[in-house]
Amino acid sequence: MKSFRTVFSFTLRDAMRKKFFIISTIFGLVLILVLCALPMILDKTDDSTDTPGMGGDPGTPTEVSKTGTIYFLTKGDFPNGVAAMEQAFPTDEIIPIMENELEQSIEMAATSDKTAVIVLNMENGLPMVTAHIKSFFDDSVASYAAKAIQRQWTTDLLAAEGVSEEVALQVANDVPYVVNLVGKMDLSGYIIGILILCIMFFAIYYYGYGVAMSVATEKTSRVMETLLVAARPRELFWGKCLAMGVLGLAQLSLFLGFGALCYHFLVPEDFLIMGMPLSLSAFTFTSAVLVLAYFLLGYLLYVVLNAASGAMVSRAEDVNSAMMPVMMISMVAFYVAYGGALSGSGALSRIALWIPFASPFLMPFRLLNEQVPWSDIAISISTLVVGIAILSVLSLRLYSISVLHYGTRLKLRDIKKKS
Amino acid sequence: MEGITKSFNGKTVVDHVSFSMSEPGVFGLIGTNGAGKTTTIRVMLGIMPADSGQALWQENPITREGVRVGYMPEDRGIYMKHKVEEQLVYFARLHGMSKADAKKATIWWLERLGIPEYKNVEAEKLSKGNQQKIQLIATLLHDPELIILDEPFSGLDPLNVELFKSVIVDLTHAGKYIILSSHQMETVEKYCRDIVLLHWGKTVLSGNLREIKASYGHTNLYVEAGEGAEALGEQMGLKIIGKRAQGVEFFITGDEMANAYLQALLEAGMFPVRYEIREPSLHEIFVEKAGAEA
Repeated sequence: MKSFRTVFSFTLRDAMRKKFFIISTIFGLVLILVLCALPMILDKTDDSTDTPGMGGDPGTPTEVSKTGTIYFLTKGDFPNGVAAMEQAFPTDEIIPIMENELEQSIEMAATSDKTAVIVLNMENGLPMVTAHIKSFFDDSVASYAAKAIQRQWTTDLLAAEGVSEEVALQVANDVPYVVNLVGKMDLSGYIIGILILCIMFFAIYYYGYGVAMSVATEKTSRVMETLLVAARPRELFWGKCLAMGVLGLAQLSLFLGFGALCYHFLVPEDFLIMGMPLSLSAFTFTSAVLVLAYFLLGYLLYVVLNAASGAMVSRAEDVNSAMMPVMMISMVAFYVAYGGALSGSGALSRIALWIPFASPFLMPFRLLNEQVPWSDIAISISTLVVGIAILSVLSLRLYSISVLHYGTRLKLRDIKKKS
Repeated sequence: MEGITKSFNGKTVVDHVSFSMSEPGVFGLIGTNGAGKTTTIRVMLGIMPADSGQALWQENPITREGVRVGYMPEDRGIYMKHKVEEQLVYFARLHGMSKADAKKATIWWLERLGIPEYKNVEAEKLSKGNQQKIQLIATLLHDPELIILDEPFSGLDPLNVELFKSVIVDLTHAGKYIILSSHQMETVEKYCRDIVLLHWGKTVLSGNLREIKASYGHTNLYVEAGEGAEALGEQMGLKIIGKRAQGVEFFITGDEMANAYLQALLEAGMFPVRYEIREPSLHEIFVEKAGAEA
């Protein structure tokens, strides 16, 4: 037990001093800080109303500065087209053009972010809008233009039928709507869930790689023989695996804690993303503890395989190829979990629950986005624990056999013989 | 060691090897490359299981808890990226020392081997010889009772060889049991009381070195007597077994043969400045035994 503690503390200290750990921790914290401070920064720099346009800075309604240009061609009879465009795009200059100018205008739109060409074509008495834009990012121009023409066309038709202008405008206006989310899944939960899924994958890969590399280095530098005289293989194995796991857990906890602090102090209460408030309401104490538990269990499941992979190589540069099977498993599991996360409580999600390799990626997302039944948590944790137990026994055996094997690569047949 | 046998993939690498040490001192485990020395050591230390046989220390199986072992492997193994003191303290702590004792012992050994200034230097920045000193310190730091040194002098310059030898002498005086694995026969001959000679995993010779050599009798005659000595020996039917810059070495069947040659030298007016009748060297015994088995 003393040897385990010694290996544990030596590995922990060593890993904490690694440049990659220091850089990734600082980078993670800065990223969290920037993301949380972004709403405040945007709020201070952006004092405009949400007005559509090509120019990007629409200005104020009273003092409009024209920052973009829209060339507007009307084919057919639509007398109020320009007026409708001016109303829809108050920050852009609307320039009516003739048909023979169309080609030249399209060429200009093709080279400028601040220029668009809108063609209104009256076919069989029905308006049809075509927008020529440089990038698909500007496709909102078409929908705004179509909406404005639709509104104008409706009011013109109603006016022609003798309906008063006031009523016609009321009819043409869009019906306002409000979305009130009553379920657990909201945009915040979704974004944070996906972020945690990615962090889990990264952490499991990084810390697993760290263990594999450390084992391979000890083996190839022949330190292993010195170590094995003083400590048992299982003490070296677990001391190393758990030290890296604790470090990963500490880093993840630091990110979560710092994220909560930044959210509390930096994110404005009324901040909206796509019309929805940013909220960490899904992050309860229980869900946070379970997220950390899934991280630790998922890490353990993969790290025992990585440690055995590291022990199988005779040269440190072969670690990547030895880790490839584990990497492939983790990538497939990641995509299964990602698919399961997107499918809600669909079949993929149900299947992933039972797969120890996938559940550590899936369950944190689900915990943040839905009311996960305790039976699902129990199933996933049970399969994980059983998976860890089985793989630990096999990996430790493989590790013990491999650490002093040099030269030709061990085959499964050899391992079976030596077991 | 009682009848240790170890095979890999059906090939027997160590075949019923037995030897023992009854009192402190240096024991020589010798053999050619691939003779099975390192495997014998690994099995003895319990870092590799034996197919059959057992390794005992004071009549109990050798375990990490049962005996303090210091092992210096042939392939030097230290952490290149770590500072000297840091890794030595780590190794010592794995052997059960407290941090304070480990630090104290580290300082003492660094000074004993003349490298206290490298305490806080990464191992990769040290010369090969100094890295080897760090490996020796890692072996001895926790004051082991049983010390196994696998080719301890390989790659060392003469000054450091002398330093290592002085450490071995000190350890012998301190009552340590030392197993010296080497194929440098002069070194083994100089320090080892008992030996076992392995060849392709089998024991071809074992026992007290002095007795082994005595059993061969006086077989070598070395003479430095100037020009003509060599030709005279050949005329008398002596077989030359080696030539050096100053002299020649003959094989003799007994002291009478050496005396007859000395008489002939004196009668011919050749006065030897060196005349040495001796037993065969361990090197010669080794070559004879290993050659016969090959």
